[in-house]
Amino acid sequence: MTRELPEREFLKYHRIQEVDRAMTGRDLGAKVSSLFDVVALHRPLKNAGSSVISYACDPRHDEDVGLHRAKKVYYENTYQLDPPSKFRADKVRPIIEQVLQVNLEGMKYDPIECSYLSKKLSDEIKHRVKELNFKRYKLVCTVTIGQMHDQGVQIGSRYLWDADRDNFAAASFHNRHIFADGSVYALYYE
Amino acid sequence: MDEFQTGEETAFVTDEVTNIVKEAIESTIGPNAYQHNKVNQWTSNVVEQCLNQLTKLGKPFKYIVTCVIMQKNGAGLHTASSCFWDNGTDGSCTVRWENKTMYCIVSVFGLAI
Repeated sequence: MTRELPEREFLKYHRIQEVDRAMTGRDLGAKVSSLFDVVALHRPLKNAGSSVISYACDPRHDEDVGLHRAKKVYYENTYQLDPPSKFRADKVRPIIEQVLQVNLEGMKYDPIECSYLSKKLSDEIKHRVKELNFKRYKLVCTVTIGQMHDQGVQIGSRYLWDADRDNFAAASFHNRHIFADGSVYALYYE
Repeated sequence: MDEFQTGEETAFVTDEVTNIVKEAIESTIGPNAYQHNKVNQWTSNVVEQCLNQLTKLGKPFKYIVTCVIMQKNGAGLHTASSCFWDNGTDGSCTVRWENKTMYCIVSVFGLAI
């Protein structure tokens, strides 16, 4: 293709390619994923025993690491010992149920789609719960999506936390092809 | 008065936690084959043992430990987590372990008090 271009065009084309490579570190037109795979980028999927860890956002990109390290802030005493509003599991459970239901209704199992969905849904749940505005709570949301294949699965969790203030909410969903479990843990901090 | 705990002592050290989790899985499940009536016990034991060891580290953290055990028969499994916390102090670690008949995935979240 490039041989048919006049010389000037040819040089221009190459220049663009070079600039692009210098900027992105990739060839022009190379496949780009918005997810940052930690393991090799183009790893073929094997049918058994393959697992990949990936991040929905680049974990190295932190605002408070590097040049702009956040200064430690010392606050005055608030003399508050309890959260202004307690974490309400009964308000959070419907949110998880709804998010799972809306996004997974009628879904068939697809490894790439489900991997993407698990990240998207956990993020969505986190945002929805943040909107409820439970002050002084840290949140951890997990979503597990698996294929229905006549196998046995057991999901369990335990905590070392303050049973009076910390709480969790969990909900699950399943159809003929997949099952999903969503949990939100809320931990009080001062 | 100054705080005497600094850096390493109060940070969430992923390597340390990974070792604890691996040890817990190895000692509970080890070479056993998947048995439906044992799985409940195994998940409890793995999680319990992790928490026990984490407590012994004596760090100012609250911990969440979750464990998924799945029989191996070609089915896929995806788990993801999303957190709203202090990036500077809090941390998580996930261990994937498998033997011939099952997968075991343990996640530990440590949140500074």
